[in-house]
Amino acid sequence: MSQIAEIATGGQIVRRAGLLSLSRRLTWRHGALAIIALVVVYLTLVPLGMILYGTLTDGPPGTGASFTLQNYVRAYGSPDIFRAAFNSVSFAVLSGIISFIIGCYLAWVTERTNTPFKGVIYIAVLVPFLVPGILTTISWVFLLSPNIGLINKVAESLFGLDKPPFNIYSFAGMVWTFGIDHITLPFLLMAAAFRSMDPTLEEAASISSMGPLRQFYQINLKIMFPSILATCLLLFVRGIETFEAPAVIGIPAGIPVFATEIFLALRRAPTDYNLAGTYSTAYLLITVIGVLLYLRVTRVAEKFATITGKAYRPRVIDLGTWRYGVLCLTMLVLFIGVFLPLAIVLWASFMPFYAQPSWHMLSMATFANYVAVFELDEFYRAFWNNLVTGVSAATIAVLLSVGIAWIVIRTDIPGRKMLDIIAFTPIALPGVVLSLALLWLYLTVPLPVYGTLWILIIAFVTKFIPISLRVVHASMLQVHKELEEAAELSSSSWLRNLFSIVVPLILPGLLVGWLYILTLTFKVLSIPILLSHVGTEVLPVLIFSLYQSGGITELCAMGVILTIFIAVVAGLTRLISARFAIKAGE
Amino acid sequence: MISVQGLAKTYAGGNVRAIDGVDFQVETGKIFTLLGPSGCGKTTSLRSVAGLEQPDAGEINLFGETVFSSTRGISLHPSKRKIGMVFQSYAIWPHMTVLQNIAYPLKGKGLSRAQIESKAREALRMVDLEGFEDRPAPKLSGGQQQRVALARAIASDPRIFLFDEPLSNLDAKLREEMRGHIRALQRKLGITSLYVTHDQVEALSISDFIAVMEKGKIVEVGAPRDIYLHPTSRFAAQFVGLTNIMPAKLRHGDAGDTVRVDLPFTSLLCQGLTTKAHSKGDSLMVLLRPENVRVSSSSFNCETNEWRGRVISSIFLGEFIDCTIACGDFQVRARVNPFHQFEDGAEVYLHIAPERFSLLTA
Ligand SMILES: Nc1ncnc2c1ncn2[C@@H]1O[C@H](COP(=O)(O)OP(=O)(O)O)[C@@H](O)[C@H]1O
Ligand SMILES: [Mg+2]
Repeated sequence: MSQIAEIATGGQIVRRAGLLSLSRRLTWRHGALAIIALVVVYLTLVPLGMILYGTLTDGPPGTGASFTLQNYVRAYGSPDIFRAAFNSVSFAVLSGIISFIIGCYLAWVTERTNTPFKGVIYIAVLVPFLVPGILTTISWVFLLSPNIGLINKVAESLFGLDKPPFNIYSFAGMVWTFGIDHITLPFLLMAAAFRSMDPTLEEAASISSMGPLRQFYQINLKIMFPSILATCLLLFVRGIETFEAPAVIGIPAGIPVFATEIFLALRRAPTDYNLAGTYSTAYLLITVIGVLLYLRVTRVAEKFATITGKAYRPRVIDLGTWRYGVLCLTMLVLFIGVFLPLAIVLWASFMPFYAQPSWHMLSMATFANYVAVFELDEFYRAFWNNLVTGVSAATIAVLLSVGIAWIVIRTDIPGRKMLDIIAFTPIALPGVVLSLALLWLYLTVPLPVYGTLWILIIAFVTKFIPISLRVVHASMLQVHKELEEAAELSSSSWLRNLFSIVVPLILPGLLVGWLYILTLTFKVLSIPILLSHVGTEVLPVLIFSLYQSGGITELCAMGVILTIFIAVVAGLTRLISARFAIKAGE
Repeated sequence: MISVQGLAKTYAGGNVRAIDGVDFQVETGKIFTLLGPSGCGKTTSLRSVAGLEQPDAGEINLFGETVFSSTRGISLHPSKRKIGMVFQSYAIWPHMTVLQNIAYPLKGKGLSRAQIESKAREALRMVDLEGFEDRPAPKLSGGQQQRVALARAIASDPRIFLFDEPLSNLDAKLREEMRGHIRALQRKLGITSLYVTHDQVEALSISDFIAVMEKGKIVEVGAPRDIYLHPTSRFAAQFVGLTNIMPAKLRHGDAGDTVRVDLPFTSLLCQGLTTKAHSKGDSLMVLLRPENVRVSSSSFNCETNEWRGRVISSIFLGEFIDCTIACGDFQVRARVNPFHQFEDGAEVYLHIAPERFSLLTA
């Protein structure tokens, strides 16, 4: 007995056993896994490599250009890039502060106070999630433009001003538009943080002799700090990669940020791919730093036991009569931030031409814009393109995520953590950079992808894999390993077991991820704006080009239709996740 | 027959030795239990037999067929080993009905739908769950889920059964009932079984043979009776049941099956035991189960094996009184009939029949 034991631990046998486990690993199941891993690497790393390659060459994609550092000299030698960097960062920081303050305030109101009508507040804050960013941005132009802005007009007549008080075409206008449109994300994250704070900690502090301010600082702020930081960093990353406000407001106002500089470099004639690529490197550097910090902070946040896992019923603060004051302030915020932008779009969608709301104009309200939209071939084409690319991308992303999550959770294959990280990298890829990278790749590689819907599908899959991966990962963690092993005992077909045991069990999670990605493809502009061509437009692109060509009222009707569609899909998602008690990860 | 030789497995890049040279054999039709504290490697051994874990070294034979061998590079897929397994978590598929759960392993084996269904129903009948066929699995109680798991393991006519702490999630009453159920079913079907538990009562009541494990190694194998009454290792003696362990020295040389040993506070006559110690003065350990200690407030008037002691504590536990009695520097635990009553500090007499000891070479 002891002899065998000795042999068993002897180096030689162990080495042979290593070989054996390797050979067992090389079943075709691992072939399938290897393909998934390769696809993920191909989707994420190859375009990045392509862009880097491009910045080091002296010709557009696909030409046999030679290596040069000239692009870097050109880009970094001009003050433009530093101006863009400064604008991008300050835009992201300032708009993030606005979003955070408002979102956090609303979360506090609904989670920690006895303010009435919490349900209404809660639903109202979720609404901006449903409206495509391009539409809200345009609606703020309707509200704050110096010529036609509703708020300006009202303020002028109310206070007898001879000059419009606000100008949307300014840095402040850009910051405000993006900030107010992104209150939902900090609201949800901070509400979760409030909810997961153990009320006994506060009670312990009140029993001790801490003053209320000191208590707030010592307990609430310190405990919530990681969540606050994570939320702010996420807002920063969102802000820095956004395209809508910089394009609609920043370009006419002459405020360059990275996203628009790259866009313009590609729209200018002659197209300057190399310069755009070089800008992308600086752009990427900033987003990567933001994402890395975010990941660090969330890891720290997970270590804070008080902030994860258990949900508590937070202690509700009795505001007394103050609660009506808080209610008024909250309603005012929601009226300006959520209701007004939607209302002005809805109003305009019924107008024969763009005009301020008035009783007189109301009598001229018409369905003509809606009729026109439904008679527009481009609308059907864009909707169809959007549906095809959205459905395909969501399906592919979710299936790939199943494979990745399975590898990460269930196997001990070396490098699986790396795969997880690689699949997560697109979170740091701004839409325009990803698009540029894909353009470069498919203008170089002779595959029939450029100019087709495929390039859009590939872009969507790449960009949204991190989202589906998180949802799928969380669901798969819930599936006990033994459930799968019980199946493995009876059938050697890995795929059969996967699809009859694991997939049905995580189906609600898959569906939520799938639907969420589908809605995103109907909202995001930064990705298709560079990749869509005549015939392959999707709805946000169509809205943007209608805006540029002045089809304002029609655009509004189209926006309303699109928002209703997204709301229906989102409602479905919520139903499913409520039914199966899943939280769609942000 | 299950034969396991030299099984070894490390985790965390070789830093954790989960099992370290495990050998055992299970005879056909018998139920063999791996018993040991949590983390000693029971599950790893069981899962290696199932093929769910890939050992670093060793060989596993099932009925003469090598299903795993590190030296010969053999590793059969779990489904090829013809195993029925009951998991600790039951692993009942929650998205299926009871019947679907049992039928799943039967599919893809060339059976017709009718055959699958009749086999599944037959398995359900064996675990007394007729009428539950169409119940969604999550709508079952813990005990019922356990039975479904059992039926699922039976249904595909396995060569061997594997059980990984199948009763640990049940409450005490149900555990006892299921224990009997598993035992009866195993007897009836005569299926060679490997059972894992950390619960000594469960192991003693269910097994034909028990292997006591410690830190990735088997320290002792034997029938339940032998393991309990005559453990050959200190670890087994302490882990299985409660034992007083007292250091002693052999008074005479080789004295056949009756020996006299010296304890610090008294001397003892031990009968019917053989020890490996043969010469005068050899160090021994005397093992004494608390239930074999007789306690009385008056002398037993026995010449041998009677001591005096002082009660330190006595805890009334219903079935018995758990007494701790100081004898010299030593503390003896004793189980006393609940009708007795001893004050703390009271002087008592202890008596142990000469044949109710075990001896271990120290
Ligand atoms: N997947 C694993 N990774 C790392 N260590 C493990 C793993 N599985 C088991 N171990 C370790 O191996 C040892 C034996 O585990 P196990 O066989 O589960 O013990 P038991 O079933 O007896 O409680 C323990 O120390 C455990 O922590
Ligand atoms: Mg175990």
